[in-house]
Amino acid sequence: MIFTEPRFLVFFLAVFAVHWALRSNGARKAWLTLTSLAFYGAWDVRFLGLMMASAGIDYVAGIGLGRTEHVGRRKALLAASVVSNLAILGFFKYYNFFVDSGALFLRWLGLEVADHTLAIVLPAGISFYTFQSLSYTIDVYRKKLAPVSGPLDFTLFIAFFPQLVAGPIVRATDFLPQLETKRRWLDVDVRAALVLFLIGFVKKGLVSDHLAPVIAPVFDAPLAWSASSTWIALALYHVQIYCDFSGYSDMAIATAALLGYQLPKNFWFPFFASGISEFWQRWHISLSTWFRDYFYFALGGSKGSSFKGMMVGSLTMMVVGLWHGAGWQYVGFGVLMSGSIIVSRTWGMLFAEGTWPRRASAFLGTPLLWWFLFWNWILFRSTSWDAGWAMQRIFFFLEDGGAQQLSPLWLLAVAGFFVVHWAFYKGWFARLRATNDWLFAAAVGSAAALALVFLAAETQAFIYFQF
Amino acid sequence: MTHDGVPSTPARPAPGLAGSLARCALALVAFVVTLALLRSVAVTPGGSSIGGRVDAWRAQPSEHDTLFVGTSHVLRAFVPDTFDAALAELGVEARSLNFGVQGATLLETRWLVRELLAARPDVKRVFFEYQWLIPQVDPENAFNPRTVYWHDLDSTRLAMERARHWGRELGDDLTFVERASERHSVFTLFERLAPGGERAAFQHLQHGLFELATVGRGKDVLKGLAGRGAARTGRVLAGDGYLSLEDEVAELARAGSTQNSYTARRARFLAEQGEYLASVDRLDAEERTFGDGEWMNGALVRVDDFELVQRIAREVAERGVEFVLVILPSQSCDRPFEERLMAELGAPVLRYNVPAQYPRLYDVEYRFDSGHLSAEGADYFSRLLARDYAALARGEGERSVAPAREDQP
Repeated sequence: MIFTEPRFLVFFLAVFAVHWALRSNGARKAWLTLTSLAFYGAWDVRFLGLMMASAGIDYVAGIGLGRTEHVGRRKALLAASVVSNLAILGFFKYYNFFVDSGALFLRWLGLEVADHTLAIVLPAGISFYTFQSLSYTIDVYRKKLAPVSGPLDFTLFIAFFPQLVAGPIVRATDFLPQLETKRRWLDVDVRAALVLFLIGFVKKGLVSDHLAPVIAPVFDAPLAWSASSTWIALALYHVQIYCDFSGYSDMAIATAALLGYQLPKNFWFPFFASGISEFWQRWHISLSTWFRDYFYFALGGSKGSSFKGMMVGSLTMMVVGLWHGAGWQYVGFGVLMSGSIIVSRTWGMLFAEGTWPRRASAFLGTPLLWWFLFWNWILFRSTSWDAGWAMQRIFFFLEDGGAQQLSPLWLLAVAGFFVVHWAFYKGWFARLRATNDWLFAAAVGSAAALALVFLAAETQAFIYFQF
Repeated sequence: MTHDGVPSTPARPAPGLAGSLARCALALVAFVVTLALLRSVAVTPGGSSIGGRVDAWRAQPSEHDTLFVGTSHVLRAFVPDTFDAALAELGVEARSLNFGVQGATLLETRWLVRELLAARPDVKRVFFEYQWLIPQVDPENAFNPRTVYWHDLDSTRLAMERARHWGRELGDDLTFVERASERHSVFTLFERLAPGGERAAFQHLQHGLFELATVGRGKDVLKGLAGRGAARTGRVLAGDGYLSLEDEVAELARAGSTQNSYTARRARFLAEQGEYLASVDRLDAEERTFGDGEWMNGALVRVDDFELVQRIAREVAERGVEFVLVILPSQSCDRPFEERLMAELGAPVLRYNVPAQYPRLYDVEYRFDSGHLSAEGADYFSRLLARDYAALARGEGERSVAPAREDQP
């Protein structure tokens, strides 16, 4: 069930109405848990058990950690949680990739190996809820958080439907305290939530889903298209992937807000960053801060020499790349990101603030970032190695492909998108927050009608669902 | 909430329950009014190949009085110029237009006929291709615009009625066709428990609501605002609707597309002629056979819905328009049902799916692929049809005919 599907709107209206009609906090939490499990079951009911097993491991580990101060036992409990979660994730997400790659390597060495890959279905949202669940155990281990009081709260923390399948990755320290008190309708910023939902809906249903079928043929067969078409397709994908993912996050945050819960910010105008480090502070923020807090810091990235920090940062980006998917293109994505961290930090170490190279890099930062992201999008979006290589050649050497041509008018659409996006960035619409309630209600009604009419006729799955 | 530029709302006194409900009511009114406004400016749904042609039909002066409607089998089989000329030689005047639509379904064709006749009451006759009814909705195309667009109130009601009827008739045989990607969804598990007819009726209801709310019809609205609906006569109306597959393929080749679904079907037909000829033999040998479904999801149920066809014939006749049902030279037959149509429909039925009587219509030379006639075949068929219709018009033949001889028309 996708947020832009009309059936989701029916589902949400039912959840919303019953949630606020219930009087006790316990009943509301039970209702949200039940509906969240149903929401997950809308994808594949078989994997509910897997999600509950993953959550159960961390719930039990949390109880254990709350009952012992023995260092060895605490470490063992944490290790059991981390290893079992990563084992589940590894099996479902990476088993075939590693087995397949290993077999390829052995064949390259001239050894005969049988095919040991399995027909594994990737459970929706596994990368998101695994990391969310892990954050709980680690925070309880670090004594930043007391173990959760009961299984209902923990299940709701893992399964809460707005963020379940594609984030934002919510920290236990942010969410569990919200479950302790009954949510008050008066505390809900309804106007901001409705606007955010509409913005997310427009990004996903009206921008991303309309662009998807335009872009797909170019990525599928780049050699059939002219070089300029490749560049236009990359510019369109630049817009599409942002609108797709940030649109999902917007709607997730808004639906949670309408139920009285706050989810963390996941995007902050990432394409206006001036460099790769800043980009990751603005793109998929809940993932990058997760890796910062539980991986980079844990490996001592923030302590010791700048060189060590750079190496750990680089390693972190490699892992972030692999988090996105089980395939060599994601390894490549991680390598590029990792390399970019090394280059940017080295640049920072070589040239002091205020020197001309630093001023030049600050001036050229955003265009360079875009160029670099375009390169990464080739890896991210390519449907095969052959198509990926062909696109890389066109990208770097402007090799001409075929006769088919995407209309250059698409670039105007991209420019138009960024003008509006810039206006949001600069807060040009902030004055609208003072609109009176009646005008706002009429505007929301009309905007909802416009959004439905201009919705792409065929809903596309969210790009990040595959991760 | 300060996510990606959405500012928090300044604190203000919260409205009471009555105030909140009043604001919701205003939002609802604005929603409905905006939808109505957008709907009023939108061009006819169905995309340029259907809605665009309907709008062009509405806009053009009254020159055509004979319509051919149905699927791509119609689109590639009737050559209006040939038909009109052959008919004129036999003393019957007609100015015909081919309005075949690729992949059209029976209820979709009914919607189209209603639209066309409502716009132009001067039409004299409609040649309607016989089609089966598929009560279910193909889950892989469930919300494809082509599946949804014809669900106006009347069509939705009728689709639901027929789905329920066939649910009662077929029971468990009206199988549940699930979407492969949602096989293990909790929704699918619940859907499996529902009776087949009710499930199919509910799908049509959803489509009706989608159409009512104009969901996903932004392009139609923009075209309407730009005034492009009525202006688009396109190549198809200009050529009286007929375009041979040979010309279509040549046109695509000029546009750079040398490998496409048409060329693939043609290549398959040429490579598998043995199978084609065997299926032609089955048409003569068997009472019931089905050989036209390569495009279709095999899990969908096809039914011969006599009541529905009769209803469509009656609706057309009530407008003072002659209704002629044509069973095209297809690969399928259901002889007992066809006999019933010819005996009880109350309108002329012309049947051509009898290879023993019409061997040339099944000649490989007259076929582009297994389902469609070539340009030469279409020319021959149009003259054949003109001959048979002229006999009907002059009152020389039976009202329902399957002529025993295939004389050169």
